[in-house]
Amino acid sequence: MGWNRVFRDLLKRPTAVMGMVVLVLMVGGAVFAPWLAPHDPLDFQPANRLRAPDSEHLLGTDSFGRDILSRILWGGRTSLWCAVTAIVIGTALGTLIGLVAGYSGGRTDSLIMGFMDIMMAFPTLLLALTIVIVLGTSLFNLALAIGISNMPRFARLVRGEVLRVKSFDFVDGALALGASTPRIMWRHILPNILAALIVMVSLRVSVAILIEASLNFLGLGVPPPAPTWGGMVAEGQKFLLFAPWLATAPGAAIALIVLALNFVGDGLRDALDPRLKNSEV
Amino acid sequence: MNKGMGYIGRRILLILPTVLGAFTLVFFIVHLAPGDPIDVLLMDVESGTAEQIKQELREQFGLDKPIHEQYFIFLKNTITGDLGTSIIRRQPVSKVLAPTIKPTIMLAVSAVALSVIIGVPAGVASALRRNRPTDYIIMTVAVIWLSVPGFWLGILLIYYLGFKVAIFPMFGGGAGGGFTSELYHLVLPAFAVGARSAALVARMARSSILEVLNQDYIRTARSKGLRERVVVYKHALRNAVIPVITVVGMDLAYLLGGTVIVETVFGRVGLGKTMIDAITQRDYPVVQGAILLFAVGIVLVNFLTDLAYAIANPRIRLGK
Repeated sequence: MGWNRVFRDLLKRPTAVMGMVVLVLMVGGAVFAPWLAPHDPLDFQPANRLRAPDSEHLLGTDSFGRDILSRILWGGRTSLWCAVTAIVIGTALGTLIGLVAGYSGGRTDSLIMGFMDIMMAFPTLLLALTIVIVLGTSLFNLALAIGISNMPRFARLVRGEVLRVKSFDFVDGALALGASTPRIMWRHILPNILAALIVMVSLRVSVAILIEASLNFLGLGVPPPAPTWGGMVAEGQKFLLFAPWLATAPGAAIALIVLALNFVGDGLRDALDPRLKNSEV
Repeated sequence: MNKGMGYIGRRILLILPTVLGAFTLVFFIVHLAPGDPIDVLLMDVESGTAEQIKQELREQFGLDKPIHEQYFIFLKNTITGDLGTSIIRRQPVSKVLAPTIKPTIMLAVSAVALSVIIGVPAGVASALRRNRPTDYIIMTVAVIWLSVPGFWLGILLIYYLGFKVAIFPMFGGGAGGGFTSELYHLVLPAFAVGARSAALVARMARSSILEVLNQDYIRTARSKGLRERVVVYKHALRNAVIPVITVVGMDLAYLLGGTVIVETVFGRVGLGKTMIDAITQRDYPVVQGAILLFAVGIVLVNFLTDLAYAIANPRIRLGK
C-alpha cells in the first residue's frame, strides 16, 4: 500500500500534522518524564500547598504541595502505557477472534459474533468499569479491562474484512496450493486487512485514554499516590473554587492528546483507506 | 436465524441472551470481587470479631451455599423483583435504587435531545457548505467536542457558568424545588454528557447528507426544477435521517455510561452516582442491582433503536 505515499498524504493535512506534532511532544514528555520533570511528582511540600502557577511551579502545586507539571508529565506515562497496553490486548484478542470467526463461518461464526454483539451493546466505559470491579484496581488490570472492552470492535472489523478478502481468488489459489489455514490467515488475509486495522487502532487509542482517565477520575484505576491525569482532575475538583488550575491543567492534557490522536486517526483513515471515509469506526 | 420471523422478531429474540449475559457477569462480580463483603460490613465493629458471627451473617446473606446454588437463587429472586439487601444501608436494593432511576433518565434524555438539537443543524449546515469555512469550523469544533472528557467539561462548566458567571446551579439535581428547578439543574450536566454525542451526530449527519445528495433521485428532483430548499429538506434530509437515528440510538446507550461520570461530577443522586458510591463502599448488592438496571436500560434502548431504524427504513422492515 506504499507507506511513503501514506505519510506524504498525511503531511498534506494541516490537522494531521498538528496532531502529530502534539503527539510527539506529549509522548516525548511522558517517556522522558524522569529527566524533564522539574520536581519529584510525589514530594510533599505542605508549606507550598495550592500555589498558583509561577516561575518555580509552572502549573502551580496541588493540595499536598506537589508540582503539577511534574505530575502531569509522570501521569502521561501512566495514561499512555495503559492506553497502549489496552489497545495491544484489544487488538490481539479481537483480531484473533475475528480471524477465527470470519474464516470458520457457519455456526462458530454466529456464536462468536453473537457474543461479541452482546458485549458491544454495552458502553465501553460501563464494560471496563464492570471488569475492573471483578479484577480489582491496579494499573495492569485497568489496561486489561479497557483492552477486553475494546475487543469486540476489533473482532467485528477483522471478521468483516476477512469475509471480504476470503472471496478473492488468491485465497482460493493459496488453498489449492495446499497452504494451511493459519498460513492463509497470516500470509494472505492479515496483510490485506492491515489498513483498516491501523485506522481502527489509531482511533481506539484515543477512546482508551478517555476511558482510562474516566476510571481514574472515579477512583477505580491506579491507586494513589501515583499521578494519573483523571485522578488529578478528581483531586482538583475539590479545590476548584480556590485553585482552578488543579483540575484544568491535567484535564487539558487529556483533551489535547485525545484531540491529537483524533486528528492523526482521521488523517490516517482518509489517507489509508478512502472506503472508510464515511464510516463510524 | 429464522427467516420467517422478520427483523423485529429476531431483535426481540436477542434481548433475552443479552440480559442473561449481563446478569451472569453481574453475579460473578459479587463472587469474584476482592474483599469479603462480610469483612467490610464488620469493619466498624472491633477487630477480632468472632468467626461465628461472620458465619451467621454469611448464612443470613446466603453466601455459605455452593456457587451454582447461589446463582439460581439470585436468578429466581431477580425475576421476582427482589434484588437483595444493601449491606451498608440495610434496605432492599430495589428501594435504594428506585428513586435514582428518574434523574438518570432525565439526564440521558435531555443530553440526547441536546445532541440532536445541536448536532443535526450543524451537520446539515456543514454538508451544504462543504469544503468552505463554515464546514471546516463546524467539523473542527466537532472533533474538539469529541476529544474533551465529559468529567472535565463538566468541571469547566461548573467553574465558568456556575461560579464565575453564576447563571446555572453548580451542584445537585434540584430535587424538592419543583420541575423548573430540576430542569434548571439539568442544563450543565446535560451539556457535559451530550457534547460528545452532538459532535458524533453532526459528523454522521454531514456524511449522510453528502452521500444522499449524490444519489440519482436528488439529481432527478433538481432537474425537475424544484427549489434547492425543497430538494434538501424534503428529499435529502428524509433519507439522510436513517443513519442518524442509529447514531442517536447507539449513543443513547453510550450516554448512559457518560451519565455515571457526570452525575459524580455534579453530585446528582442518580443511578450512576449511587453505583459508584456503592463500589467504593463495597456494597455489592447495590452495585449488582445498578449494573443490572443499566444493562436492562441499554438493551431496551438498543431494541427501540432497531425498531425506529426498521420503521424509518422499509427495506429492513419488510425483511432483506
